[in-house]
Amino acid sequence: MRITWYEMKKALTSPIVLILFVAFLGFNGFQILSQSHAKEEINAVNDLIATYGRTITDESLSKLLNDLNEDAEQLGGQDGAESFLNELTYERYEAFSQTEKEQVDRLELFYTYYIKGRDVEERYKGIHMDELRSEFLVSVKESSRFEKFMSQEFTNWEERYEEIVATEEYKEWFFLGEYKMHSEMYRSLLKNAALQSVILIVLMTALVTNYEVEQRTQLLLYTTQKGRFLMRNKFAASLLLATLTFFMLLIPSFILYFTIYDFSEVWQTVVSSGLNWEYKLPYITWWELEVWQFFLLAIAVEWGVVILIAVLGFFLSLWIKNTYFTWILSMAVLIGLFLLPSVFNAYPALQFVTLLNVTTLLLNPHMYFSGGITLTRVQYFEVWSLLIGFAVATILSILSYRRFMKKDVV
Amino acid sequence: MLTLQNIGKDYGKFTALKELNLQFENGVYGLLAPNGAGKTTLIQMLVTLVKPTSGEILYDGKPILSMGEAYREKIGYLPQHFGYYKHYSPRKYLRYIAALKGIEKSVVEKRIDEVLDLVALQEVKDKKMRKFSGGMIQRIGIAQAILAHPKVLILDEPTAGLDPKERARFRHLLSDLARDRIVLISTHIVSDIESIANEIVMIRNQTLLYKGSIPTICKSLDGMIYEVTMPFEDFSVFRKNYLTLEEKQEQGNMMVRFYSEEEPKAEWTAVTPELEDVFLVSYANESTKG
Repeated sequence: MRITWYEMKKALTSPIVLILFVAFLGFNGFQILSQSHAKEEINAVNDLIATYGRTITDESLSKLLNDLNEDAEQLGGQDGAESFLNELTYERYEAFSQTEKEQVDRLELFYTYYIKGRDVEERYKGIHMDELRSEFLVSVKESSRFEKFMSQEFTNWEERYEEIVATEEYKEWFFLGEYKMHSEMYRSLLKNAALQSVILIVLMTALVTNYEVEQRTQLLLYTTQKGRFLMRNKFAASLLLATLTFFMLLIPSFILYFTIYDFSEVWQTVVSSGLNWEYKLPYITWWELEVWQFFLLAIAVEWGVVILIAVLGFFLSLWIKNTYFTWILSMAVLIGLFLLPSVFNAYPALQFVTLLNVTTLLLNPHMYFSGGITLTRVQYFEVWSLLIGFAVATILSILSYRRFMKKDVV
Repeated sequence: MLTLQNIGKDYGKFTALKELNLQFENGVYGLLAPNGAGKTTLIQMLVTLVKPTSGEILYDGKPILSMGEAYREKIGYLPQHFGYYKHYSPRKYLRYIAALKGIEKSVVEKRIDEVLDLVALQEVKDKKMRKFSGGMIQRIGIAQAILAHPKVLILDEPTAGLDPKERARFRHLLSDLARDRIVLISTHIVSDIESIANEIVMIRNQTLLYKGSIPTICKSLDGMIYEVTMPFEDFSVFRKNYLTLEEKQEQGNMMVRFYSEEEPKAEWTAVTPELEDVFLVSYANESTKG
């Protein structure tokens, strides 16, 4: 461990690494703060859950409406909240005191939640699975085992949808889809932190692995008792650095995020809530996952991706022996992997296989564990992508390591 | 004991060493050869950086490559181009090397102080090496090589960058160290080893030329090294016909030390061959020999 720590320090004390790290942290902080203007409005869902419970029921909706009508009455609306808000003009609004304005805003927001809650059943049950199936299978367009596989995946997802409907799993309060809290949190914050980690980790892995060549110390260090086994410590250092960097970028960013956005009552809401509907479809997860479970699992998958890319960087470093060339090539490989599926647009089966790569996972954490009508939304997509990635990276790294152990160092 | 059995090394079609047989016991060995003779290849094989294409190197009868760590813990090595971390202090650097050499943490600090005393760098042990002179860096190299009490100490051009005082200090240090270990010094500076080496190893044309004590090696040139004083104007013709080893101007004349296998002339004075003569003769261009 002593030697591994020495190896880690070689990267951690690199000025470029430190500068990038601080810049990334600053960028994440700026991004969170710059979008925090609606935080009061967004956080209101916690009051809703605390008062009316997490589950959307006829009873809780009725109680909510009663309360809203009472609030409207206090503001001068004798015919209920709906009528009050419909008749609210700009002039009338401006005539209210500041406190009253805030009450009106709150009434409007909660009434919106009431409408969304009231309509969620109709909207959710209105998802046409048959149309989605046709749309999906047209894109697959291969009369083969692949089509059968995809068709079966869709059937499984459809069954999961029916289960969500039958158990009313979707009837839980969550931030309104309009706020895009789910995709903001995962696609913006988690993905950015993971991408930043990748940039740093490839650099650090290449730096640690190539350090002796670049400092011309390899002739000396590989003749010590440790010898070329030092590369094992360098590998361990790379993995530890990958973990450290990922969490050092993630933890401060999420601390700031959760300081601004209150998730206290939302953690136990399911991600498949019918209100978590940001785009064409809601997030129909393959399993019943609460927000905290999804959060931890998404971090675990991105962590796996980051580790995998560190292994890839290690493999390339053993061949290239130059930190910056290794970094450039690693980035080129990742961009290549990202673009590769588009080469196979005409061959869905091949496209699916090429989609099972780390870049798909890296860039789409908001879509984890959820079904849909794209090739990447099959069940266990994350597990398959990671397993394939680790298998390939491990084989390549072992081959490179063996070559390194045998070759002459001159 | 370190034994080389029929060692050969090829890099593709280029042969760097061939059929080398050597044996080293405790003592100081000077490895003398010009650049390109295979000296560095030999050293790199001894420190396991390079694997022989043929033959085997044994330490106390066991192949060094299969001994692995057990062999490497016995060696101390100073490469010709000694790489170091400029932003480290000597103490920090030696701590790192100590970790790699498997030195127990409890004795590391004491041992670092000992070796820094030996190379006279105690006062700068916490200064960054970025500002060190070439001589100081070379002393750090020597310090790391002896840090783990190696049984085999291999030094490639160890006196490069050292001033005369440091060279003398270094020779004394090596004499002390050589009592219970093998010390192999690769150099092209004859004076560095002639006073301390028990034996000299010379390589030519990728194979062993000589191995033996300095008197034995010098004896091979008995009756072939002469000195003569001549007018300056005769010297250019003389130099074309003989391999000159030393040339000095003395009161308008030239005093020349040279090599010749001819019947000596009356004005020539036979002198005792020295190691420098053997080196120069051995690696001289054949066409200039007399």
